[in-house]
Amino acid sequence: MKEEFIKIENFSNNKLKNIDFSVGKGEILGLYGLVGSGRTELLRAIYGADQLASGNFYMNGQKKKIKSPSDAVDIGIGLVPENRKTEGANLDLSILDNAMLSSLSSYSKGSFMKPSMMKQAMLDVMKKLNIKAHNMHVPMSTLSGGNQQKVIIAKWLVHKSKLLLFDEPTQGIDIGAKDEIYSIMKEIVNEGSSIIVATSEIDELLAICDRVLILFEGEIIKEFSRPSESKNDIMNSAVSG
Amino acid sequence: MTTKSEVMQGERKNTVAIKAILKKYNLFFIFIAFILIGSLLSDQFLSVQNILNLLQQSSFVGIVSIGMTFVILVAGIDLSVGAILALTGMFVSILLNTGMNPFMAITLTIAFGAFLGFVNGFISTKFKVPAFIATLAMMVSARGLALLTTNGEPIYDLPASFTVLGGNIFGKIPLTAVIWIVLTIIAIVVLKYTTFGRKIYAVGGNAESARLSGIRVNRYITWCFVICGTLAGVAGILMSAWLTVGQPTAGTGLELDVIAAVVLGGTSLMGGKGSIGGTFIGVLIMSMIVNIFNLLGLSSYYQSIFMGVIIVLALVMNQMISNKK
Repeated sequence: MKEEFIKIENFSNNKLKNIDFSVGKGEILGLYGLVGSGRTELLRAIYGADQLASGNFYMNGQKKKIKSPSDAVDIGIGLVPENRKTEGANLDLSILDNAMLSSLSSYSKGSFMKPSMMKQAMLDVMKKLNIKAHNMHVPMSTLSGGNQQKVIIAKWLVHKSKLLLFDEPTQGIDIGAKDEIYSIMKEIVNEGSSIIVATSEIDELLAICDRVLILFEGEIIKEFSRPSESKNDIMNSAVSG
Repeated sequence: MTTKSEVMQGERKNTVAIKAILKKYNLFFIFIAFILIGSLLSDQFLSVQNILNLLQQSSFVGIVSIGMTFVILVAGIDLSVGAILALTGMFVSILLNTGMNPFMAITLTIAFGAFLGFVNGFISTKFKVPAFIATLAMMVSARGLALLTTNGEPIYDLPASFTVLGGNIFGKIPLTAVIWIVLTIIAIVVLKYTTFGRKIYAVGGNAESARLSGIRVNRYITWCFVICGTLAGVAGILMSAWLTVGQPTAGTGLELDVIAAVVLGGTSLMGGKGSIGGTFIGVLIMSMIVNIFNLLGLSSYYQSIFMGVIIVLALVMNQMISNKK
């Protein structure tokens, strides 16, 4: 059992009912369930993108107040949203701008940006994630879906976020890029960060997750600590509750 | 040996390159075109005196247009700039008439302009009122208040130590034009080189994705309205100095000229695209049109029609260019 990093206590709003769970350091936790079961809503509630009626969030044992995505980003959480084009990416900005967007103050002196620092950081992360682009100044819109997703992930690596939330990470992405993203996720947790991933693809779930939670109508109904051995049980629980 | 298809491909690459240059600098070409047209139509056009007049006339719209650019970049709009110009113009005049020293009067008035901008920003972000409606309400209220202060009468007897701001420096150069150019340079630097500027473009391009990246979107939108109100206040102060009276009807219809200049300069009303440099050229092009019409002795009614046509053409061309991308 991994050392506890995040604790979610009694999260409730109009889509979620008394959600309790924890995430360990270096763990990939999967959220699985039908459409509307609350997977996206739970990630957004953790991130402060949606409001909670009640609930407590603990990081390393300390209670944290998250009222907006800015609060979440400040304490080291990053979201890779479900809708890549409308929520994850800023298609008009360059891939450099997209990747640096959450870390501008770290790469500036006073209010003035330091282009040379940013350039170096971008080169490093483009190499690490194998982002294929003509150069770092091309608009985000010119990249393939898989490479766009890598830039969005890069944003959180540049920010050195410790908890990454993925919502349908490989939707609409080709097979080769899918595998690359799975390797990236595994490398992220090997370096000590934690991941919560919501996905509707059972094979994806089993390929990357250490532990799986089943969501049904806004509640966590089951936990699987050895997901690769329980494929049928997982699928049945998700459907029948 | 090059084949025929290789030669044709080479030619195609050249035309693509030329087209790209035309697209990117189309505003500048239009600007040069108007200078040429002006100089052909009137031999006064390029005279030093005419150029100085042009700069003086442009500077009020120019200063306000800087602020409007910020607001439109975050997909907002500010219809109240003309009214804020008038109200701050009256405010500084009232303060000066109480015997307050000009430095203090100006500082308080600039703060007042910032406050009015803050109200615009606060109402459009916190109460989710569309900026069009919020600033329309401000426009009506501020104009009403400006007229109320003196029952619509101008305020005279402004001290010379203040009205000197509306005059020339180094003999012939209008101070208001110098202030406009300095503010333009500052704004260009802010938008291009600061983290604030980068966030403005992010918010304007896709506010939701900016929010999910951790940017406090409402804060930055509000700041743009504050900047706009502040600069409208600066223009109001300078207008009173230049007119040597506080005029409650000043700036009537200014918002339309300002928005037209910003849009002509290539800033998109959808947000996320545009530049202060473009706005600067947009202001100059509009002033040149007015200037050419005046030099030719044409009625101002023709001016308005022509201006409308130019704006529509500019919008259509910008749309065609962005569609082709």
